[in-house]
Amino acid sequence: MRRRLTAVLTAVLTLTAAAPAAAQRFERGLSAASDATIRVYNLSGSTTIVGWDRDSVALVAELEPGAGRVYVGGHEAIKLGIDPPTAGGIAGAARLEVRVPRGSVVWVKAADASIEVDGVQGGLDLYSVTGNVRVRGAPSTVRAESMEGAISIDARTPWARAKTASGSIDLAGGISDLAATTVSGTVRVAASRQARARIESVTGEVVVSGRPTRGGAWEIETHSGAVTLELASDTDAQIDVHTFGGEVRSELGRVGTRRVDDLAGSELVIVAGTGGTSITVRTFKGPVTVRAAP
Amino acid sequence: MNCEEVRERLHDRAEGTLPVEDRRAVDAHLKTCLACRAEASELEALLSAVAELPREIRPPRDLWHAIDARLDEPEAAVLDRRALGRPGTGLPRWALVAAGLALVVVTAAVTSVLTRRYDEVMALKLRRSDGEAPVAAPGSPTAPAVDQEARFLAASQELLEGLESQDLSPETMAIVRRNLEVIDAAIAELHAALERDPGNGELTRMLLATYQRKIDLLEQAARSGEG
Repeated sequence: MRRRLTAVLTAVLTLTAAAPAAAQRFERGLSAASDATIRVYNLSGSTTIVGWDRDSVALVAELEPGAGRVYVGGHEAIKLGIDPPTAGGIAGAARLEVRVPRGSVVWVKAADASIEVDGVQGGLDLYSVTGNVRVRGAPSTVRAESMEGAISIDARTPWARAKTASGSIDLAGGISDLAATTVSGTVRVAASRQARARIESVTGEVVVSGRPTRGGAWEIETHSGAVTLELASDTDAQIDVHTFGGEVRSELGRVGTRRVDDLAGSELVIVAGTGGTSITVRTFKGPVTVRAAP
Repeated sequence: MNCEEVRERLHDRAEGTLPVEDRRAVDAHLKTCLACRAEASELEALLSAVAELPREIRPPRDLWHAIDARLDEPEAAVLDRRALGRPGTGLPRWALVAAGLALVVVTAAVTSVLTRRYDEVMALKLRRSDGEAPVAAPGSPTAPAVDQEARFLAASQELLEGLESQDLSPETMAIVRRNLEVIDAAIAELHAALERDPGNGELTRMLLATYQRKIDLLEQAARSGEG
Protein backbone atom coordinates (compact mmCIF):
# COMPACT_ATOMS: atom_id res chain seq x y z
CA MET A 1 0.00 0.00 0.00
CA ARG A 2 2.79 2.34 0.95
CA ARG A 3 4.70 1.54 -2.19
CA ARG A 4 1.61 2.28 -4.22
CA LEU A 5 1.14 5.45 -2.24
CA THR A 6 4.66 6.51 -3.00
CA ALA A 7 4.36 5.58 -6.66
CA VAL A 8 1.11 7.40 -7.12
CA LEU A 9 2.36 10.51 -5.43
CA THR A 10 3.93 11.75 -8.61
CA ALA A 11 3.57 15.43 -8.34
CA VAL A 12 3.76 17.57 -5.31
CA LEU A 13 2.66 21.08 -5.86
CA THR A 14 4.59 23.47 -3.77
CA LEU A 15 3.30 26.91 -3.22
CA THR A 16 5.75 29.24 -1.71
CA ALA A 17 4.55 31.70 0.80
CA ALA A 18 6.95 34.55 0.80
CA ALA A 19 7.00 36.30 4.09
CA PRO A 20 4.33 38.93 3.75
CA ALA A 21 3.23 41.07 6.60
CA ALA A 22 -0.36 39.78 6.57
CA ALA A 23 -1.77 36.27 6.59
CA GLN A 24 -1.95 34.62 3.19
CA ARG A 25 -4.73 32.46 1.90
CA PHE A 26 -4.29 29.53 -0.45
CA GLU A 27 -6.97 27.46 -2.11
CA ARG A 28 -6.35 24.33 -4.04
CA GLY A 29 -8.54 21.51 -5.35
CA LEU A 30 -7.58 18.19 -6.86
CA SER A 31 -9.32 14.98 -7.84
CA ALA A 32 -8.99 12.08 -5.45
CA ALA A 33 -10.02 8.45 -5.15
CA SER A 34 -13.15 7.91 -3.09
CA ASP A 35 -11.09 5.87 -0.64
CA ALA A 36 -7.93 7.94 -0.85
CA THR A 37 -5.26 7.81 1.80
CA ILE A 38 -4.62 11.35 2.95
CA ARG A 39 -1.73 12.49 5.07
CA VAL A 40 -1.87 15.96 6.57
CA TYR A 41 1.04 17.59 8.31
CA ASN A 42 0.55 20.87 10.10
CA LEU A 43 2.48 21.56 13.24
CA SER A 44 1.10 24.85 14.48
CA GLY A 45 -2.36 26.37 14.22
CA SER A 46 -5.33 24.18 13.40
CA THR A 47 -6.38 21.47 10.99
CA THR A 48 -10.00 20.78 10.17
CA ILE A 49 -10.92 17.77 8.04
CA VAL A 50 -14.45 17.43 6.70
CA GLY A 51 -15.72 14.45 4.75
CA TRP A 52 -17.90 15.21 1.73
CA ASP A 53 -19.60 13.27 -1.06
CA ARG A 54 -17.22 14.19 -3.84
CA ASP A 55 -14.19 12.45 -5.26
CA SER A 56 -11.95 15.42 -4.71
CA VAL A 57 -9.94 17.21 -2.10
CA ALA A 58 -10.31 20.91 -1.45
CA LEU A 59 -7.74 22.69 0.64
CA VAL A 60 -8.05 26.13 2.10
CA ALA A 61 -5.04 27.34 4.03
CA GLU A 62 -4.49 30.55 5.90
CA LEU A 63 -0.91 31.17 6.83
CA GLU A 64 0.45 33.68 9.24
CA PRO A 65 3.83 35.15 8.33
CA GLY A 66 6.59 32.66 9.05
CA ALA A 67 4.28 29.66 9.05
CA GLY A 68 6.07 27.94 6.17
CA ARG A 69 5.02 26.63 2.75
CA VAL A 70 1.94 24.79 1.63
CA TYR A 71 2.34 21.55 -0.28
CA VAL A 72 -0.29 19.26 -1.76
CA GLY A 73 -0.26 16.45 -4.30
CA GLY A 74 -1.36 12.93 -5.22
CA HIS A 75 -4.55 11.12 -6.17
CA GLU A 76 -5.06 7.77 -4.44
CA ALA A 77 -2.53 8.81 -1.88
CA ILE A 78 -2.48 12.48 -1.11
CA LYS A 79 -0.02 14.40 0.98
CA LEU A 80 -0.66 17.93 2.03
CA GLY A 81 0.34 20.28 4.75
CA ILE A 82 2.74 22.93 5.83
CA ASP A 83 6.45 22.61 5.38
CA PRO A 84 7.87 24.61 8.28
CA PRO A 85 10.75 27.03 7.81
CA THR A 86 14.10 25.28 7.89
CA ALA A 87 15.71 27.99 9.94
CA GLY A 88 14.48 30.12 12.78
CA GLY A 89 11.64 27.83 13.79
CA ILE A 90 7.93 28.29 13.23
CA ALA A 91 6.98 31.91 13.65
CA GLY A 92 3.34 31.73 12.64
CA ALA A 93 0.36 29.44 12.70
CA ALA A 94 -1.42 27.85 9.76
CA ARG A 95 -5.12 27.15 9.64
CA LEU A 96 -5.99 24.33 7.28
CA GLU A 97 -9.48 23.34 6.23
CA VAL A 98 -9.50 20.24 4.09
CA ARG A 99 -12.51 18.61 2.47
CA VAL A 100 -11.91 14.98 1.62
CA PRO A 101 -13.93 12.12 0.11
CA ARG A 102 -16.05 10.64 2.87
CA GLY A 103 -14.43 7.20 2.52
CA SER A 104 -10.89 8.51 2.92
CA VAL A 105 -8.35 7.16 5.34
CA VAL A 106 -6.87 10.16 7.10
CA TRP A 107 -3.62 10.65 9.03
CA VAL A 108 -2.90 13.97 10.69
CA LYS A 109 0.19 15.06 12.55
CA ALA A 110 0.46 18.24 14.64
CA ALA A 111 2.54 19.81 17.36
CA ASP A 112 0.49 22.51 19.03
CA ALA A 113 -2.13 22.56 16.30
CA SER A 114 -5.60 21.35 17.08
CA ILE A 115 -7.15 18.64 14.93
CA GLU A 116 -10.83 18.36 14.14
CA VAL A 117 -12.37 15.68 11.94
CA ASP A 118 -16.01 15.40 11.00
CA GLY A 119 -17.88 13.19 8.57
CA VAL A 120 -15.04 10.89 7.48
CA GLN A 121 -15.97 7.21 7.28
CA GLY A 122 -12.53 5.71 6.74
CA GLY A 123 -9.93 5.15 9.40
CA LEU A 124 -8.45 8.05 11.34
CA ASP A 125 -4.98 8.31 12.82
CA LEU A 126 -4.53 11.62 14.61
CA TYR A 127 -1.58 12.87 16.60
CA SER A 128 -0.96 16.17 18.32
CA VAL A 129 1.51 17.04 21.04
CA THR A 130 -0.34 19.79 22.86
CA GLY A 131 -3.28 20.50 20.58
CA ASN A 132 -6.82 19.27 21.13
CA VAL A 133 -8.18 16.45 18.99
CA ARG A 134 -11.87 16.22 18.20
CA VAL A 135 -13.67 13.59 16.13
CA ARG A 136 -17.30 13.35 15.07
CA GLY A 137 -19.14 11.20 12.56
CA ALA A 138 -18.85 7.50 11.85
CA PRO A 139 -15.24 6.60 11.06
CA SER A 140 -14.30 2.93 10.67
CA THR A 141 -11.54 3.27 13.27
CA VAL A 142 -10.07 6.07 15.35
CA ARG A 143 -6.64 6.33 16.88
CA ALA A 144 -6.09 9.66 18.60
CA GLU A 145 -3.17 10.80 20.70
CA SER A 146 -2.24 14.04 22.37
CA MET A 147 0.27 14.57 25.13
CA GLU A 148 -1.40 17.54 26.76
CA GLY A 149 -4.34 18.41 24.56
CA ALA A 150 -7.87 17.16 25.16
CA ILE A 151 -9.25 14.32 23.06
CA SER A 152 -12.96 14.24 22.32
CA ILE A 153 -14.48 11.47 20.24
CA ASP A 154 -18.22 11.69 19.76
CA ALA A 155 -18.65 9.14 17.04
CA ARG A 156 -20.31 5.92 16.08
CA THR A 157 -17.40 3.62 15.39
CA PRO A 158 -16.52 -0.01 16.01
CA TRP A 159 -13.03 0.76 17.31
CA ALA A 160 -11.37 3.71 19.01
CA ARG A 161 -8.14 4.23 20.90
CA ALA A 162 -7.35 7.45 22.75
CA LYS A 163 -4.16 8.22 24.58
CA THR A 164 -2.96 11.28 26.50
CA ALA A 165 -0.39 12.15 29.09
CA SER A 166 -2.21 14.91 30.94
CA GLY A 167 -4.96 15.82 28.50
CA SER A 168 -8.55 14.85 29.16
CA ILE A 169 -10.37 12.19 27.16
CA ASP A 170 -14.09 12.31 26.38
CA LEU A 171 -15.68 9.39 24.56
CA ALA A 172 -19.29 9.23 23.48
CA GLY A 173 -21.53 8.40 20.59
CA GLY A 174 -21.42 4.61 20.51
CA ILE A 175 -17.97 3.05 20.33
CA SER A 176 -18.07 -0.75 20.29
CA ASP A 177 -14.49 -1.39 21.30
CA LEU A 178 -12.73 1.41 23.10
CA ALA A 179 -9.51 1.91 24.99
CA ALA A 180 -8.46 5.09 26.74
CA THR A 181 -5.10 5.57 28.38
CA THR A 182 -3.85 8.57 30.31
CA VAL A 183 -1.37 9.41 33.01
CA SER A 184 -3.04 12.30 34.75
CA GLY A 185 -5.90 13.40 32.52
CA THR A 186 -9.57 12.88 33.27
CA VAL A 187 -11.37 10.21 31.27
CA ARG A 188 -15.11 10.48 30.74
CA VAL A 189 -17.01 7.82 28.86
CA ALA A 190 -20.68 7.79 27.98
CA ALA A 191 -21.59 4.12 28.25
CA SER A 192 -23.80 2.87 25.47
CA ARG A 193 -22.90 0.26 22.86
CA GLN A 194 -19.52 -0.83 24.17
CA ALA A 195 -18.91 -4.54 23.87
CA ARG A 196 -15.45 -4.03 25.25
CA ALA A 197 -13.90 -1.09 27.04
CA ARG A 198 -10.58 -0.64 28.73
CA ILE A 199 -9.64 2.52 30.61
CA GLU A 200 -6.29 3.07 32.29
CA SER A 201 -4.94 5.99 34.26
CA VAL A 202 -2.33 6.65 36.89
CA THR A 203 -3.71 9.65 38.76
CA GLY A 204 -6.41 10.73 36.32
CA GLU A 205 -10.06 10.51 37.31
CA VAL A 206 -12.32 8.10 35.44
CA VAL A 207 -16.05 8.75 35.06
CA VAL A 208 -18.33 6.31 33.26
CA SER A 209 -21.93 7.29 32.92
CA GLY A 210 -24.99 5.83 31.24
CA ARG A 211 -26.27 2.34 30.61
CA PRO A 212 -23.63 -0.15 29.53
CA THR A 213 -24.71 -2.62 26.89
CA ARG A 214 -25.75 -5.94 28.34
CA GLY A 215 -23.00 -8.50 27.84
CA GLY A 216 -20.26 -5.91 27.56
CA ALA A 217 -16.95 -6.20 29.37
CA TRP A 218 -15.37 -3.17 31.02
CA GLU A 219 -11.98 -2.96 32.64
CA ILE A 220 -10.94 0.15 34.51
CA GLU A 221 -7.60 0.52 36.20
CA THR A 222 -6.10 3.45 38.08
CA HIS A 223 -3.33 3.93 40.56
CA SER A 224 -4.82 6.75 42.60
CA GLY A 225 -7.34 8.25 40.20
CA ALA A 226 -10.94 8.31 41.45
CA VAL A 227 -13.37 6.06 39.62
CA THR A 228 -17.01 7.07 39.40
CA LEU A 229 -19.66 4.90 37.79
CA GLU A 230 -22.90 6.79 37.23
CA LEU A 231 -25.14 4.07 35.92
CA ALA A 232 -28.73 4.07 34.80
CA SER A 233 -30.92 2.76 37.59
CA ASP A 234 -32.01 -0.25 35.50
CA THR A 235 -28.46 -1.26 34.61
CA ASP A 236 -27.69 -4.98 34.68
CA ALA A 237 -24.10 -5.25 35.77
CA GLN A 238 -21.74 -7.06 38.04
CA ILE A 239 -19.09 -4.69 39.28
CA ASP A 240 -15.95 -6.22 40.75
CA VAL A 241 -13.84 -3.71 42.62
CA HIS A 242 -10.30 -4.64 43.61
CA THR A 243 -8.54 -2.09 45.78
CA PHE A 244 -5.69 -1.84 48.25
CA GLY A 245 -6.40 1.48 49.86
CA GLY A 246 -9.24 3.16 48.03
CA GLU A 247 -12.58 3.78 49.66
CA VAL A 248 -15.49 2.07 47.90
CA ARG A 249 -18.97 3.52 48.06
CA SER A 250 -22.03 2.17 46.35
CA GLU A 251 -25.17 4.25 46.25
CA LEU A 252 -27.08 2.16 43.77
CA GLY A 253 -30.42 1.07 45.23
CA ARG A 254 -30.53 -2.56 44.14
CA VAL A 255 -27.16 -3.79 45.16
CA GLY A 256 -25.95 -6.94 46.79
CA THR A 257 -22.43 -6.80 48.11
CA ARG A 258 -19.95 -9.08 49.70
CA ARG A 259 -16.58 -8.04 50.93
CA VAL A 260 -13.48 -10.16 51.01
CA ASP A 261 -10.64 -8.72 53.05
CA ASP A 262 -7.21 -10.21 53.30
CA LEU A 263 -3.62 -9.17 53.11
CA ALA A 264 -3.88 -8.85 49.35
CA GLY A 265 -6.28 -5.94 49.55
CA SER A 266 -10.03 -6.05 49.32
CA GLU A 267 -12.55 -7.01 46.74
CA LEU A 268 -16.08 -5.75 46.59
CA VAL A 269 -18.67 -7.30 44.34
CA ILE A 270 -21.68 -5.20 43.47
CA VAL A 271 -24.48 -6.84 41.57
CA ALA A 272 -27.09 -4.61 39.98
CA GLY A 273 -30.07 -6.21 38.30
CA THR A 274 -29.14 -9.54 36.77
CA GLY A 275 -25.47 -8.67 36.38
CA GLY A 276 -25.40 -8.94 32.60
CA THR A 277 -22.49 -6.59 32.08
CA SER A 278 -19.07 -7.20 33.57
CA ILE A 279 -17.31 -4.15 35.01
CA THR A 280 -13.97 -4.69 36.71
CA VAL A 281 -12.33 -1.83 38.57
CA ARG A 282 -8.79 -2.18 39.84
CA THR A 283 -7.16 0.59 41.80
CA PHE A 284 -4.32 0.88 44.22
CA LYS A 285 -5.75 3.71 46.28
CA GLY A 286 -8.25 5.61 44.18
CA PRO A 287 -11.72 6.05 45.65
CA VAL A 288 -14.47 4.18 43.82
CA THR A 289 -18.05 5.42 43.75
CA VAL A 290 -20.99 3.62 42.18
CA ARG A 291 -24.18 5.59 41.98
CA ALA A 292 -27.33 5.99 39.95
CA ALA A 293 -27.16 8.44 37.08
CA PRO A 294 -29.03 11.65 37.85
CA MET B 1 10.84 2.81 4.59
CA ASN B 2 8.65 4.77 6.95
CA CYS B 3 7.79 3.81 10.51
CA GLU B 4 4.59 2.00 9.57
CA GLU B 5 6.31 -0.13 6.93
CA VAL B 6 9.09 -0.96 9.35
CA ARG B 7 6.73 -1.98 12.14
CA GLU B 8 4.83 -4.26 9.81
CA ARG B 9 8.11 -6.14 9.29
CA LEU B 10 9.45 -6.25 12.83
CA HIS B 11 7.87 -9.60 13.63
CA ASP B 12 9.40 -11.26 10.56
CA ARG B 13 12.72 -9.63 11.36
CA ALA B 14 12.66 -10.97 14.92
CA GLU B 15 11.87 -14.44 13.62
CA GLY B 16 14.58 -14.25 10.95
CA THR B 17 12.18 -14.68 8.05
CA LEU B 18 12.54 -11.23 6.55
CA PRO B 19 14.08 -11.10 3.06
CA VAL B 20 17.60 -9.72 3.03
CA GLU B 21 16.72 -6.52 1.21
CA ASP B 22 13.89 -5.76 3.58
CA ARG B 23 16.08 -6.60 6.53
CA ARG B 24 18.69 -4.10 5.39
CA ALA B 25 16.08 -1.40 4.92
CA VAL B 26 14.54 -2.10 8.32
CA ASP B 27 17.91 -2.11 10.06
CA ALA B 28 18.83 1.17 8.40
CA HIS B 29 15.59 2.70 9.64
CA LEU B 30 16.14 1.37 13.16
CA LYS B 31 19.48 3.11 13.33
CA THR B 32 17.80 6.45 13.03
CA CYS B 33 14.36 5.94 14.59
CA LEU B 34 14.18 5.75 18.34
CA ALA B 35 10.54 4.72 18.61
CA CYS B 36 10.85 1.86 16.13
CA ARG B 37 14.04 0.69 17.80
CA ALA B 38 12.30 0.55 21.14
CA GLU B 39 9.42 -1.38 19.60
CA ALA B 40 11.85 -3.81 17.99
CA SER B 41 13.63 -4.38 21.30
CA GLU B 42 10.36 -4.96 23.12
CA LEU B 43 9.22 -7.41 20.48
CA GLU B 44 12.48 -9.33 20.62
CA ALA B 45 12.26 -9.49 24.40
CA LEU B 46 8.69 -10.72 24.21
CA LEU B 47 9.48 -13.40 21.64
CA SER B 48 12.46 -14.55 23.69
CA ALA B 49 10.30 -14.76 26.79
CA VAL B 50 7.73 -16.80 24.91
CA ALA B 51 10.45 -19.11 23.60
CA GLU B 52 11.58 -19.75 27.15
CA LEU B 53 8.20 -20.82 28.43
CA PRO B 54 8.38 -24.44 29.51
CA ARG B 55 7.22 -26.91 26.88
CA GLU B 56 6.00 -29.24 29.58
CA ILE B 57 4.63 -28.35 32.97
CA ARG B 58 4.68 -30.98 35.65
CA PRO B 59 2.56 -30.69 38.78
CA PRO B 60 4.23 -30.84 42.19
CA ARG B 61 5.91 -34.16 42.72
CA ASP B 62 3.96 -35.15 45.82
CA LEU B 63 0.66 -34.79 44.00
CA TRP B 64 1.94 -36.30 40.80
CA HIS B 65 3.38 -39.30 42.63
CA ALA B 66 0.09 -41.01 43.37
CA ILE B 67 -1.24 -40.51 39.88
CA ASP B 68 2.07 -41.53 38.34
CA ALA B 69 2.09 -44.71 40.39
CA ARG B 70 -1.39 -45.54 39.18
CA LEU B 71 -0.32 -45.12 35.59
CA ASP B 72 2.61 -47.44 36.16
CA GLU B 73 0.48 -50.20 37.63
CA PRO B 74 0.63 -53.57 35.86
CA GLU B 75 -2.01 -53.87 33.19
CA ALA B 76 -3.49 -56.86 34.99
CA ALA B 77 -4.30 -54.78 38.06
CA VAL B 78 -6.09 -52.26 35.91
CA LEU B 79 -7.99 -54.99 34.14
CA ASP B 80 -8.96 -56.50 37.50
CA ARG B 81 -10.47 -53.21 38.59
CA ARG B 82 -12.24 -52.81 35.29
CA ALA B 83 -13.84 -56.14 35.84
CA LEU B 84 -15.54 -54.67 38.92
CA GLY B 85 -16.95 -51.70 37.08
CA ARG B 86 -20.06 -51.27 35.00
CA PRO B 87 -20.05 -52.70 31.51
CA GLY B 88 -19.49 -50.13 28.85
CA THR B 89 -17.61 -47.52 30.85
CA GLY B 90 -14.62 -49.63 31.76
CA LEU B 91 -14.41 -47.92 35.17
CA PRO B 92 -16.70 -47.82 38.18
CA ARG B 93 -18.64 -44.64 38.79
CA TRP B 94 -16.62 -43.77 41.90
CA ALA B 95 -13.43 -44.07 39.87
CA LEU B 96 -14.76 -41.72 37.21
CA VAL B 97 -15.70 -39.20 39.89
CA ALA B 98 -12.29 -39.59 41.53
CA ALA B 99 -10.56 -39.16 38.17
CA GLY B 100 -12.53 -36.01 37.54
CA LEU B 101 -11.63 -34.62 40.95
CA ALA B 102 -7.98 -35.54 40.42
CA LEU B 103 -8.02 -33.69 37.11
CA VAL B 104 -9.42 -30.60 38.80
CA VAL B 105 -6.82 -30.79 41.56
CA VAL B 106 -3.97 -31.26 39.08
CA THR B 107 -5.18 -28.38 36.97
CA ALA B 108 -5.41 -26.15 40.02
CA ALA B 109 -1.97 -27.23 41.16
CA VAL B 110 -0.44 -26.53 37.77
CA THR B 111 -2.11 -23.12 37.72
CA SER B 112 -0.79 -22.46 41.20
CA VAL B 113 2.75 -23.44 40.20
CA LEU B 114 2.57 -21.21 37.13
CA THR B 115 1.18 -18.30 39.11
CA ARG B 116 3.82 -18.67 41.80
CA ARG B 117 6.57 -18.84 39.21
CA TYR B 118 5.14 -15.79 37.48
CA ASP B 119 5.10 -13.90 40.77
CA GLU B 120 8.68 -14.89 41.52
CA VAL B 121 9.78 -13.73 38.12
CA MET B 122 7.92 -10.49 38.43
CA ALA B 123 9.30 -9.84 41.91
CA LEU B 124 12.78 -10.27 40.53
CA LYS B 125 12.00 -7.93 37.68
CA LEU B 126 10.79 -5.30 40.06
CA ARG B 127 13.82 -5.51 42.31
CA ARG B 128 16.06 -5.16 39.28
CA SER B 129 14.14 -2.17 38.04
CA ASP B 130 15.17 -0.33 41.18
CA GLY B 131 18.75 -0.72 40.15
CA GLU B 132 19.52 -3.69 42.38
CA ALA B 133 21.72 -6.47 41.15
CA PRO B 134 19.98 -9.61 39.90
CA VAL B 135 19.10 -11.83 42.82
CA ALA B 136 18.45 -15.01 40.89
CA ALA B 137 21.14 -17.59 41.38
CA PRO B 138 22.92 -18.72 38.22
CA GLY B 139 21.09 -21.64 36.74
CA SER B 140 17.95 -21.02 38.76
CA PRO B 141 14.63 -21.11 36.90
CA THR B 142 14.27 -17.32 37.14
CA ALA B 143 17.67 -16.43 35.72
CA PRO B 144 16.43 -16.28 32.08
CA ALA B 145 13.60 -13.99 33.15
CA VAL B 146 16.10 -11.65 34.74
CA ASP B 147 17.97 -11.56 31.44
CA GLN B 148 14.76 -10.69 29.64
CA GLU B 149 14.04 -7.99 32.13
CA ALA B 150 17.53 -6.57 31.66
CA ARG B 151 16.85 -6.26 27.93
CA PHE B 152 13.51 -4.65 28.64
CA LEU B 153 15.10 -2.12 30.99
CA ALA B 154 17.84 -1.43 28.48
CA ALA B 155 15.23 -0.67 25.84
CA SER B 156 13.32 1.69 28.09
CA GLN B 157 16.52 3.36 29.23
CA GLU B 158 17.57 3.79 25.62
CA LEU B 159 14.21 5.31 24.84
CA LEU B 160 14.56 7.80 27.66
CA GLU B 161 18.12 8.75 26.74
CA GLY B 162 17.16 9.01 23.11
CA LEU B 163 14.31 11.33 23.96
CA GLU B 164 16.64 13.57 25.89
CA SER B 165 19.00 13.79 22.94
CA GLN B 166 16.22 14.12 20.38
CA ASP B 167 15.34 17.54 19.10
CA LEU B 168 12.06 17.78 20.96
CA SER B 169 10.78 21.16 22.02
CA PRO B 170 11.40 22.18 25.64
CA GLU B 171 7.62 22.29 26.11
CA THR B 172 7.25 18.69 25.02
CA MET B 173 10.09 17.54 27.24
CA ALA B 174 8.55 19.42 30.16
CA ILE B 175 5.28 17.55 29.63
CA VAL B 176 7.14 14.26 29.51
CA ARG B 177 9.08 15.01 32.68
CA ARG B 178 5.96 16.08 34.58
CA ASN B 179 4.18 12.88 33.69
CA LEU B 180 7.21 10.71 34.34
CA GLU B 181 7.28 12.16 37.85
CA VAL B 182 3.65 11.16 38.31
CA ILE B 183 4.36 7.63 37.13
CA ASP B 184 7.54 7.30 39.17
CA ALA B 185 5.69 8.38 42.30
CA ALA B 186 3.12 5.66 41.65
CA ILE B 187 5.88 3.12 41.08
CA ALA B 188 7.51 4.12 44.36
CA GLU B 189 4.23 3.60 46.23
CA LEU B 190 3.75 0.21 44.66
CA HIS B 191 7.31 -0.76 45.54
CA ALA B 192 6.68 0.21 49.15
CA ALA B 193 3.51 -1.86 49.19
CA LEU B 194 5.36 -4.82 47.72
CA GLU B 195 8.00 -4.59 50.40
CA ARG B 196 5.24 -5.05 52.95
CA ASP B 197 3.63 -7.85 50.98
CA PRO B 198 6.28 -9.31 48.67
CA GLY B 199 4.26 -12.23 47.37
CA ASN B 200 1.28 -10.21 46.26
CA GLY B 201 0.63 -11.03 42.63
CA GLU B 202 -1.96 -8.30 42.14
CA LEU B 203 0.44 -5.63 43.39
CA THR B 204 3.11 -7.01 41.10
CA ARG B 205 0.73 -6.90 38.18
CA MET B 206 -0.22 -3.30 38.99
CA LEU B 207 3.42 -2.35 39.18
CA LEU B 208 4.16 -3.89 35.81
CA ALA B 209 1.16 -2.17 34.31
CA THR B 210 2.48 1.13 35.63
CA TYR B 211 5.87 0.44 34.08
CA GLN B 212 4.10 -0.27 30.83
CA ARG B 213 2.42 3.12 31.06
CA LYS B 214 5.83 4.68 31.45
CA ILE B 215 7.02 2.96 28.29
CA ASP B 216 3.84 4.01 26.50
CA LEU B 217 4.44 7.61 27.51
CA LEU B 218 8.01 7.54 26.26
CA GLU B 219 6.94 5.98 22.98
CA GLN B 220 4.20 8.55 22.59
CA ALA B 221 6.73 11.31 23.13
CA ALA B 222 9.12 9.68 20.65
CA ARG B 223 6.37 9.70 18.03
CA SER B 224 6.19 13.47 18.29
CA GLY B 225 9.60 13.57 16.66
CA GLU B 226 8.58 11.39 13.72
CA GLY B 227 7.84 12.94 10.38
